[in-house]
Amino acid sequence: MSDQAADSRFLALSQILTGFGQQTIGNALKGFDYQQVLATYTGAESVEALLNAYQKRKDTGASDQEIGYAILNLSDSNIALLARAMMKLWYLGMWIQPFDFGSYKTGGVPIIVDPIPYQRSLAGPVAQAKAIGVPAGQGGWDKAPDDLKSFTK
Amino acid sequence: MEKNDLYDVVIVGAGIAGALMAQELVKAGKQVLILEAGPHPDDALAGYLDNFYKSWIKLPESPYPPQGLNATQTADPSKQCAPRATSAAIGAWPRLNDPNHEQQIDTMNEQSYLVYPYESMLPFLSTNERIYGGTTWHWLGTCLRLLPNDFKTKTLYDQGRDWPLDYDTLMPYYRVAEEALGVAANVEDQTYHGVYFEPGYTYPGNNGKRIPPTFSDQCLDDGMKGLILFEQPISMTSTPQARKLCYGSTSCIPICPMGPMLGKYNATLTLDALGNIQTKGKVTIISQAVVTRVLIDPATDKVSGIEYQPYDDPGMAPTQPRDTVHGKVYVLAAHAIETAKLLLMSRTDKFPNGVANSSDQVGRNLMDHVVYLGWGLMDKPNYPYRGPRSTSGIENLRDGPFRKDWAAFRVDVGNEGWGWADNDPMTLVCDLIEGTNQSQLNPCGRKLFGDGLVQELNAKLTRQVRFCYLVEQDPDPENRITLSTTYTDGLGLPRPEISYKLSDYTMKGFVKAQEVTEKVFEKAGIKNYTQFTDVTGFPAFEYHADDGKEYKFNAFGAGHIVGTYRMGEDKSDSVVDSYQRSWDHSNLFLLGSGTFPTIATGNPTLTIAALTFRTAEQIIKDLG
Repeated sequence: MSDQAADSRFLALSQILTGFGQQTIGNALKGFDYQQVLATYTGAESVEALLNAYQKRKDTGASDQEIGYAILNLSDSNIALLARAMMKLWYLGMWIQPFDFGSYKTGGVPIIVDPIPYQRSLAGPVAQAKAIGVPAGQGGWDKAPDDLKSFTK
Repeated sequence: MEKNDLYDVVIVGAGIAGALMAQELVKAGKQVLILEAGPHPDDALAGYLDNFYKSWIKLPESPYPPQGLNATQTADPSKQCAPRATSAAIGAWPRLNDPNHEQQIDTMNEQSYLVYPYESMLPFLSTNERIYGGTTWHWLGTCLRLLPNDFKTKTLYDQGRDWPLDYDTLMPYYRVAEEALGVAANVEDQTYHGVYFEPGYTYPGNNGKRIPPTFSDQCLDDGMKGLILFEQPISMTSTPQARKLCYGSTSCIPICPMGPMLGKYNATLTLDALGNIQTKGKVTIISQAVVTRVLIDPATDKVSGIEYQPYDDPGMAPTQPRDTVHGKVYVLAAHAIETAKLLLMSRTDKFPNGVANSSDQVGRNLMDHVVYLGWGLMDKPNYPYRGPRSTSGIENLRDGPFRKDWAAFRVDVGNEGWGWADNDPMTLVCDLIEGTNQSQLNPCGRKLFGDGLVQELNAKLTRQVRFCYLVEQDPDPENRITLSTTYTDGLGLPRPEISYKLSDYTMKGFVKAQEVTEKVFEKAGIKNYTQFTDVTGFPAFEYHADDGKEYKFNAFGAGHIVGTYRMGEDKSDSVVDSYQRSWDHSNLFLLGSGTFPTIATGNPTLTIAALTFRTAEQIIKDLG
């Protein structure tokens, strides 16, 4: 599997799980390697298993809803746990260890590996705002924000 | 670093009081030295912001040294040269009726700069910073004036203590303070409960206009229209703020990412400008200099010098010897905990209770605005998480005849959703991904993804409301700071030991705060999700009311550390006079909210600044 193909699987699965569109996810991936965070804390094999689980269902013509549901309900491996950790990374910019891997153990405090995923975290846009601590621009808070779609596209 | 043999004034502490004092003295041509315990890093904002972004929980101290919070632990205070209290350390506080209470207190004391005896039932809940710029790095920017009646609660309500000055006396200094901090507000909104202004006065910031209330504030104001409680109409009032235009990051506490030039004022703005003042005066600032002793000339009882310990690495034993500096006048502006601690540490045979402490009031009457938090979901989107962290408050219950019976409060209305109340958005995001229900918003345990997750998060996060009640705490001499005989910091200096509890008067204020929450929420279409949490790390208390009702409350701190060297009219029961001059040592002045006789009903910073300007006038007169 080429790196480019791996990126496209990660991009597509991220969209399915987060509910955010290609523009937001694609822009967030520029300049920060989210996939590498997963690999660092759970191993490249686990990440590959997750992306393969996505590709396998994609190849059968499953819908995004079917793919997401299936992956998050896989019970015979750590794939579902990893998928949920990936969702939290996207939404919160934090890594919350989903299962033990080497010296990385569950139950510790969340890790923000870099300011970028926090600054780009989706919990802000899903509230039609920015992540707390990220400047949103001068003024405007005295009026209702733009509609939700403009934040999730 | 250049040092003089004799300065006009030596100031301890580079926070807002020290900075404004230095500004006035330098403008008057005086030679000034500031000693600051904490660091003064290059490009501090960028470094602190990096800490902030990397902190998984955004506590007030998260961005700042020692050690930004990126773990469950804070830096070990026994190894730090300039440790300070942290919210994170309170994470070990025992739950109510904890069978392991003493063991938990031991754990707390190991990790907390402030330490506690076993009989403690409540920790002191607020924190401050020991860095260049002080706690204005993590303040909200709120610049309320105190009410005229706040200065005379003993006379009016037989509660607390009267101040040795009144609103009339302080009013011109409020004006100067508002100018110095660039406070934005409009006079019309701030004219309530007897507060008045000079004819034609306009606030200096934002061209005399208030910072706009958020959309959320407007929704709440509409919702509570017509509500009357305790014979007072209840409404939202815009909050005076020391800020320029806001870029809407909703993170004033712990840090404004725009910095003081573009965003919220902090004292580095004043300090950094001192070198540009075109006068013959000059200021020298030495950071990483922990003052260890105030020296007194036994012949004159005047302060003769300040001893300090320089250090290079905040986590290592210092390699340089202690040094002593001298001035004609000395100003301690190290906040209510450090200033009191320093006075107590400076005891001598002639002054066995410590410096400035013939009244035995140093360290006593420790107060805070103890916080009752109420939170709920509005019946329509109010779109929080935008704008300054707070732009309006409910000020109607800051004063009234009820103050004879229960503690007054103002309500700081938040724009950060349930960020403080529930660590959102993290808690809700995790709930909806994992199927848990920590937030109370996922009772069916749904596990969502994709558009379902987006819609549910949006439906909840855009309707969150948080009220913070700043409940007045009355002065109690047994609420105090003493010097620990067991625990020390990295310099071997004693850590502050705290005795702290709430009075019936304050607890009754909590009962009323709960009642107000229920009624305002009901009127405004807000479903109340306020809940009591009885776990380790959530300080709580029980209150048994006269009518037989029993209550349990969590308590939080407002960051308002007040009262440990109070001012008064009589040297037998106060530490300083109304000019903040020590009764015992005529060339020693103490600044900051430690001099407040009562905590009153407004956030303290503007009053700290106003009193500082008044004291500066006096010092300049003294120096001639």
